[in-house]
Amino acid sequence: MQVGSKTHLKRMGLVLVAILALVVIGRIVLTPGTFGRYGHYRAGAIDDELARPLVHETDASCKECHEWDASYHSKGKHKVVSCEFCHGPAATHVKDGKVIGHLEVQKGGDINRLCLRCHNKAVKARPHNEKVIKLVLYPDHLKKQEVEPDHLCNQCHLVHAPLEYIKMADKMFPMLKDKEGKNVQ
Amino acid sequence: MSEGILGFIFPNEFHVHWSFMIVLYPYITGIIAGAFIMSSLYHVFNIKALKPVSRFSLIFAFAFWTCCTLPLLNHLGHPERAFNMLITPSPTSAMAGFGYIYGSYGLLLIGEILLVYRKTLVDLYHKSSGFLKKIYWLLTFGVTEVTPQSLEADKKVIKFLAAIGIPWACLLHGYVGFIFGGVKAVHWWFTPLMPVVFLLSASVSGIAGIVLLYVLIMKYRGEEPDINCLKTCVKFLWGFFILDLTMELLDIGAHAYLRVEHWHVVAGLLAGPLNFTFWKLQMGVFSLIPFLLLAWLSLFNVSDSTLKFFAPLVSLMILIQVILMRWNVVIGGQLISKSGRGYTHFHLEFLGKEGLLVGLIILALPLVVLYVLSKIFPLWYPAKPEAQAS
Amino acid sequence: MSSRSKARPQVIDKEEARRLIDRDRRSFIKKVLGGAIAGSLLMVLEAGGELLPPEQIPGIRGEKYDITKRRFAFVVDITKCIGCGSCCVADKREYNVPDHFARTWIERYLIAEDGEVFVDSPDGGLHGFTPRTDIDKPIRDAFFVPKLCNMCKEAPCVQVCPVGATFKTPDGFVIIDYKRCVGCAYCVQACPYGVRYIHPVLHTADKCTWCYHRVRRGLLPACVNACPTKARKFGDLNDKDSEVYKILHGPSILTVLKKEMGTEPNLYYLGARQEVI
Ligand code: HEC
Ligand code: HEC
Ligand code: HEC
Ligand code: HEC
Repeated sequence: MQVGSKTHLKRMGLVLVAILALVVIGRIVLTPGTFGRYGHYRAGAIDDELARPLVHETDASCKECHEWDASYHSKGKHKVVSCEFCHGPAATHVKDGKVIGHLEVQKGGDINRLCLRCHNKAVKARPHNEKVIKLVLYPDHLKKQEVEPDHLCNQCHLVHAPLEYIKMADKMFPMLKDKEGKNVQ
Repeated sequence: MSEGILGFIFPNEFHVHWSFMIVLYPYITGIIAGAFIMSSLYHVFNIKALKPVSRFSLIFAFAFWTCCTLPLLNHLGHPERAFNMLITPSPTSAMAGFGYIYGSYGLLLIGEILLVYRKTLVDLYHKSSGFLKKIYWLLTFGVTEVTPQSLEADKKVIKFLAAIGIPWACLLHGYVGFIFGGVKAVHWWFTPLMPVVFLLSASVSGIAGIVLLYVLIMKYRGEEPDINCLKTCVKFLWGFFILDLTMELLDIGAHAYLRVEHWHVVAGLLAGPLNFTFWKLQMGVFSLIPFLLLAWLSLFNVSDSTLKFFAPLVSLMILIQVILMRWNVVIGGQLISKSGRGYTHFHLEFLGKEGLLVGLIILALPLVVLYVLSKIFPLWYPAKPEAQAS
Repeated sequence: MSSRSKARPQVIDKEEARRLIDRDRRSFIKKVLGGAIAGSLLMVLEAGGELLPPEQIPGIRGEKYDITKRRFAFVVDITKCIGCGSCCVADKREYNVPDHFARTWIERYLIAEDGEVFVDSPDGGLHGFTPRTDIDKPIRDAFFVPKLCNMCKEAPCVQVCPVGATFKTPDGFVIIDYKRCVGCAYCVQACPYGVRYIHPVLHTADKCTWCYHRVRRGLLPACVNACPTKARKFGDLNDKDSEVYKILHGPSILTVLKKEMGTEPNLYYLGARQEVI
C-alpha cells in the first residue's frame, strides 16, 4: 500500500467531514415541520395547546338546564360567585349537552365551611371594604340572630341568592327589620 | 413537607429540581478541562517535567469525557429527547451550546489522542493479532507505518490541536460556569465571576485528579512515580489553587462589602443552610489544610517519600473541595427562595434515581473506562521510558 | 333536600335533563315564585364542533383570529382579593395540577407595626385561609396577593430554554411544547417568580398559561372566571371597552413584580405595597 506522510491526516479529515455532514443532515431531517414559522419553536405546539379540553365552562352553561337555580343566582348577590366553584367543573358533569356525571352538593357543616371560606371576618387580611365583601364572625353572627351555633348558613340564606329569604322576611315582617335597624336591601 | 424549610418559600420551591446529578456534571466537565490543560502544559508550553503524565492526562480527560453526559441524561425528564439540543439549539440559551461544545471537544480530544499515540498504535498494530489488530488498524486509519516526515507533520497538528484545545477547554468549562452565572433570578449564581471561578476550580480538580491517580497507578504497578514531575504538578496545583480561592472569596467579599439588597439573602444562606458545607467543609477543612500543605510542599525541600505521601493526599482533599464547591453552588443557589423571604431544603437520598449511590457509580465509571482504554492506549509505553528520560 | 330516586340513566340528554329537573320538588316553588323556563338556547357551536357557552371576551370568535395582531393583559387588584382560593381551586381542576405544585397561588401578607413582614401561603391557598394565630405583634397592614405567570415580554424562561420548547406565541402567551421539552429545569431556575415546576407525571416543565385554550375559545381564564370579587381581570388590549384597557389607559398606579429583573411582565398589580415581591 502506497502511503504518503500525510495520508493518515487526510483520512482523519475525511472522517471529520463525514461526522459534520451527518450532523447537518440529521438536523435538517429531524427538525419538526412547523418549527420556525413564528420563531424558534414548533408552531404546532400552539395547536396542541388549543386542543386542550375545557374543564370549566361558565355560569351560562349551567343555566341551560338549571334554569331555576340560575335565575336566583343571576339576580342575587352571589351572581359573582361561579357555580362551578361551589359545585365542581362542568366537564365532570356534562359533555356535548348530555349529563355524564353527578355533581355533589355540600351538606351540613360543609356548607358553613364553604361560606366562611369567603366571609370569615377572623381572617385578617381580607379587604375591609363592604363593597368588595361583607364579613361576619362565626359564631357571633349566629348569636346575633339568636340561634344556636350549629345552625347552617343556608337555613336563613338561600345559597344561590343569599339575601333572598331575608328580603322576603323583611317584607313579611317589617317590624323585625325596624328592630334590626338595618337595610338589607 | 415543611421540614427544614426556613421562612416563607413559594409553593413550587419545596422541590429542588437540580439534584446531585447537576452537582456531578460541572464536576466531571471540570476534571476533563483541567486534565486537558495539564497535558497542554507539556504539548504547547513545553514544560518538560510534565512529560510523564502528558499522555496519561489525555486518556484521563477522555475517560471522563465519555461519562460526562451520564448525570445529565439521568437527570433529564425526557432523556430520549436529549438530541433536541443538537437538532434545534436555541441561539439565546446558555445551555443550548453544550451539545456542540461538548461534541466538538470530544472530537478534538480523540484527534489529539490518535496523533499523540500514533507511533505507539502502529507499534502495537504489528505486535497484536486478531480483533485487537483490527482495532489498531482502524485507530491508525489504515496507515500502519511511521516515517520521520509523518511524525514531523503530526507534531505540527498536535501542537495546533493542543493550542486550540486550551481555549476550547476554557470554553467548555467557563461556559458551564456561565450556565449558572447567567441566571439572574438566583443571586447566589448571578455573577460574571462564575465562569472564572469554575475554570480555575476545574484546573485545580484536573491536576489533583491526575496527581492522585498517577501516584496510585504507579504504586499499583510497583513503579516509582517521577519525582520531578510530581513536584511540578504540586507547584501548578498550588498556583491554580491560590487563584481559585482568591476568586471564590473575591466574589463573596465584594457582595458582602457592597451590601445591596440581595446580599442579605445570600448572607442568610451562608449563615444558615450552607454554614456547614460552605464555611466548615469547603472553606475550612478542605481549603485551609490543602492550602497550607501545598505551600509547604512547594516551598520547602521535602523528601521524596514525604512528597509521595502528601501529594496524593492533598490532591484527594482538593478533589473533595471542588465537589463541595460544586455542591454549594448548585444546591446552595436553589435553596434561596425567590420570594427573598426564606430557604428551602434539599435532602440527598441514598438510593433513588438521582441519589448518592447512583452518583458514586457515575463518578466511578470514568475510572472503569480509563482501565479499558489503558488496554488499548497504554498509559506508559514502552513500559518505563520517562523514568530514564528525566 | 332532593327526593329524586338514585337510579338514573348513565347519560342524560338535555330534553331529559330539563324534564328531570322540572319534575323536581322545586318546580312547584318555581311556579309559585313565577320563574318559568324560557328555554333559552345559549350555547353556540364552535368551528371544532364543540358546544360553547357565550363569549366572555368579545371579538375572539367569529372573524378570523389574527394571531399576530392580538395583545392581552392581566391585572390583579390586591385591594379586592379576599383570599378565598377560588382561583386556585379552578386552576387545579382545569389542569389537574399535581399536589404540592401550583400554577397560581395566593400569598397572605401581614405587616407588623415595626415593619416586619409575615408571609404565608398554606398549600398555595388551595383550601382558603384560616386565621393566623402565631403572630403576637400589632399588625399595621394585611392583604392577599394572588400570583401567577407574569407572561413577560422579555421572558427569561424562553431565553434559556435550550430546545425552543417554551416560547412566546405571536399573541403574547408564554407556553410550553410538551412534546419537545426535555425536562432540564433550566427554565425553573431562570424564572424570577417561581411559577415554573417540573410536572411529576409528564416530566416536562409546566406553568400557568393564562388558560390559552380558554382565551382562544373566547372564555376568560379559569381563575378570572372563578374570582368572585374581580380581583383578577383579564382582557384584550385591542378592545377599547375592555376593563384592562381602561385600567392601563387610566390614572391608577400599576406595578409589576421584580421590575429590576428586566422581564417586562404583562401582569400588572393594582394596589401592591412595596413589600410585595
Ligand atoms: C345538560 C343539562 C345540564 C347542564 C348543562 C348542567 N346540569 Fe347539573 N344536573 C343536570 C341533571 C339532569 C341533574 C340531575 C341528575 C344528577 O343529579 O346527576 C343535575 C344535577 C346537578 C347537581 C346535583 C343536584 C343534587 O341535588 O344533587 C348539581 C350541583 C348540578 N347539577 C350543578 C350543575 C352546574 C354547576 C352546572 C354548570 C357547570 C350544571 N349542573 C350543568 C343537568 C344539567
Ligand atoms: C356559594 C356557592 C354556590 C354557588 C355559587 C352555587 N351553588 Fe348551587 N348549591 C350550593 C349549595 C351549598 C347547595 C346545597 C345546599 C342548598 O341547596 O341549600 C347547592 C345546591 C344546588 C343544587 C341542588 C338543589 C337541590 O334541590 O338539591 C343545584 C342544582 C345547584 N345548586 C345548582 C347551581 C347552579 C346552576 C349554580 C350557578 C348558577 C349554583 N348552584 C351556584 C352552593 C352554591
Ligand atoms: C367564593 C366566595 C363566596 C362564598 C363561598 C360565599 N360567598 Fe357570600 N358573597 C361573596 C361575595 C363576593 C359577596 C358580595 C357580592 C357583592 O356585594 O357584589 C357575597 C355576598 C353575600 C351576602 C350578601 C351580603 C350583602 O349584604 O351584600 C350574603 C348574606 C352572603 N354572601 C352569604 C353567603 C353564604 C350564606 C354563603 C354560603 C352558602 C356564602 N355567602 C358563600 C362571596 C362568597
Ligand atoms: C338565623 C338566620 C341566619 C343564619 C343561620 C345565618 N345568617 Fe347571615 N344573616 C342573617 C340575617 C338576618 C342577615 C341580615 C341582617 C344583618 O345584616 O345582620 C345576615 C347577614 C349576613 C351577611 C351580611 C353581613 C353584613 O354585614 O351585611 C353575611 C356575610 C352573612 N349573613 C353570612 C352568613 C354565614 C357565613 C352564615 C353561616 C355561618 C350565616 N350568615 C348564617 C341571618 C342568618
